[in-house]
Amino acid sequence: MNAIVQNDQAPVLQVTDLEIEINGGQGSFAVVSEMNLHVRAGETLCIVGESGCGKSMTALALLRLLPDAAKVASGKILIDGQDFMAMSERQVEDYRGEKIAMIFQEPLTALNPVLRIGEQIAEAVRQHRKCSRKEAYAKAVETLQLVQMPDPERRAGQFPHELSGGMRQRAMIALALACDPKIIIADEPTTALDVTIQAQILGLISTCKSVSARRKSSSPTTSASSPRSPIG
Amino acid sequence: MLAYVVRRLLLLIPMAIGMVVVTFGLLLLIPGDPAAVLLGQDATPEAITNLRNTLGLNDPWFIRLWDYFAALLQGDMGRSIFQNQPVATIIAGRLGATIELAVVALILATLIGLTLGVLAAIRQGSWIDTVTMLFAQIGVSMPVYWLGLLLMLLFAVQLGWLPAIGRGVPLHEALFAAVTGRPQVLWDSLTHMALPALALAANSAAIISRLVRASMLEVLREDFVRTAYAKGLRKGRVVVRHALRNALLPVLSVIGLRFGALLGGAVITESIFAWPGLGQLTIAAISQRDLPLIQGIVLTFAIVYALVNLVVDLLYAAVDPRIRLG
Ligand SMILES: Nc1ncnc2c1ncn2[C@@H]1O[C@H](COP(=O)(O)OP(=O)(O)OP(=O)(O)O)[C@@H](O)[C@H]1O
Ligand SMILES: [Mg+2]
Repeated sequence: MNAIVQNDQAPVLQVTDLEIEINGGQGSFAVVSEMNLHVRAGETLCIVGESGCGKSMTALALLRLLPDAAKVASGKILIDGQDFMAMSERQVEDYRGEKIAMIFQEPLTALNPVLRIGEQIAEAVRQHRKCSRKEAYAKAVETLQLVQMPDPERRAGQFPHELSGGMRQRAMIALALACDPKIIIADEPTTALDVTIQAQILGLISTCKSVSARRKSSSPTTSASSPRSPIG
Repeated sequence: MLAYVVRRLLLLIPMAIGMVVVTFGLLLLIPGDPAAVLLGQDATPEAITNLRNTLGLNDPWFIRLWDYFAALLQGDMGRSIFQNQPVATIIAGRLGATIELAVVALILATLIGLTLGVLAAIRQGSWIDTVTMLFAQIGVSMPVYWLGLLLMLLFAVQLGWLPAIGRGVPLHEALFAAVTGRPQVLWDSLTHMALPALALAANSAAIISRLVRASMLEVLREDFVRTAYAKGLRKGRVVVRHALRNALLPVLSVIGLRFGALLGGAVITESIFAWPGLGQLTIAAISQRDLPLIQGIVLTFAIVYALVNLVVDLLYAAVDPRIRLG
């Protein structure tokens, strides 16, 4: 797996010789090896591969959220030029959601069933911005509007099980966008959806990219991994 | 919601009827005669028969059952054979002490169980986990009378830190006294409460801690916990707000059921620590074959238990938005 894009700017995300190991029953084996990629501001990078080739593992490694059985065996991850693997747990927490955010594969299980959508998004905002509960909630509703959630004020007050599949995915995207991260990883954001909604969601991700590019001086990057839905 | 509560309350009626009938049947089956107990060893058979007639014990069982229900409908639980007082009055004088003990024990058990369970789960496989689960194992297998005696021996007899038996001023009055400038009253109540509450709570604390641990381990593997970390939340916040809140759901219904076990355990605990509650009264009533009093106590326990479980179900619905009451 190798993807290199030519551009003059310094990359926001740079991965060199990444190797991810899984500790199975009979010793450890590598699921990802010699992974090199870099993404500059405004770029979109796609990782394509068959099922089980390690796309989700790579995405999780970029957040340092690999499951217990897996670990990064070697390689470097630089975010904004900073060595992500060498950071303290505290620093990593500050980066998650703020610099690098993730849209997960399955929105029904990825959202907390007992918390309202708006609260879940506002919580991310409050973690990274100094603002009141009310301001954070307003920001959550605003982000839901951005991802074209119908009737965002009402939906923000609802629980995940009260939303449709497409709306849940929009909520998931809003969650990732809430703190205007520089890098958004989308792990097959559309597998759970039917084809028309898939197209809408993918369209939405690219729109959001340009909207937030206009809102902020430094433009965010989307690194999307998706085998079934070819996007650029 | 209100309709649900009303319906649950109405369900108390058939439950109470069933409860009375079952207790009545059991009391018919156990040997022993209150008249004989009352008159003592030297009573003549005639005197016993006479007393049985006065007490209505010689009537056929269905008449007695019918009379009991007829009186109960008017709020009359009968008179105690031995204390010659209305059963309702006797129970009312004792219920507070038992509820207080059971509720304090339940709170204690929940706090201990939650803390140990969460610690064991987030440090799975470490020595904390091992020690906690060892304590849980001991707590589950240790009977309350044994633990009660051990605690009394250690803290009251050997160390002399806490009083061995009795009860201070009722807790709500003691709290009031403390607020109005007499904290020693509250202290006295709490020291009396400590040993019986701890003995009573241990078993439930152990059961709850195991359950919390298992439930937490399951929830910590859920996708939404990973999402919470991906947002950049600190570990403590993820564990408490995201994981624990979900892990509590199965625990909550068990906490309700434990309250029944606590009421049962209170019968023994109260006898050990001379706690003036319904449990102590139950033992006395049974050994004296004080039939109306036993009936009244069982009915009271059943209603308290049913009400607590109603509260638990309401809490459940409040914590889990996916539950619709109705
Ligand atoms: N907890 C785990 N323990 C052991 N092996 C695992 C674990 N999780 C994943 N794997 C293995 O790691 C490999 C990579 O999995 P990954 O989820 O990254 O695949 P993927 O490319 O995202 O596939 P898909 O397109 O189906 O989502 C798979 O072969 C899988 O069997
Ligand atoms: Mg995957």
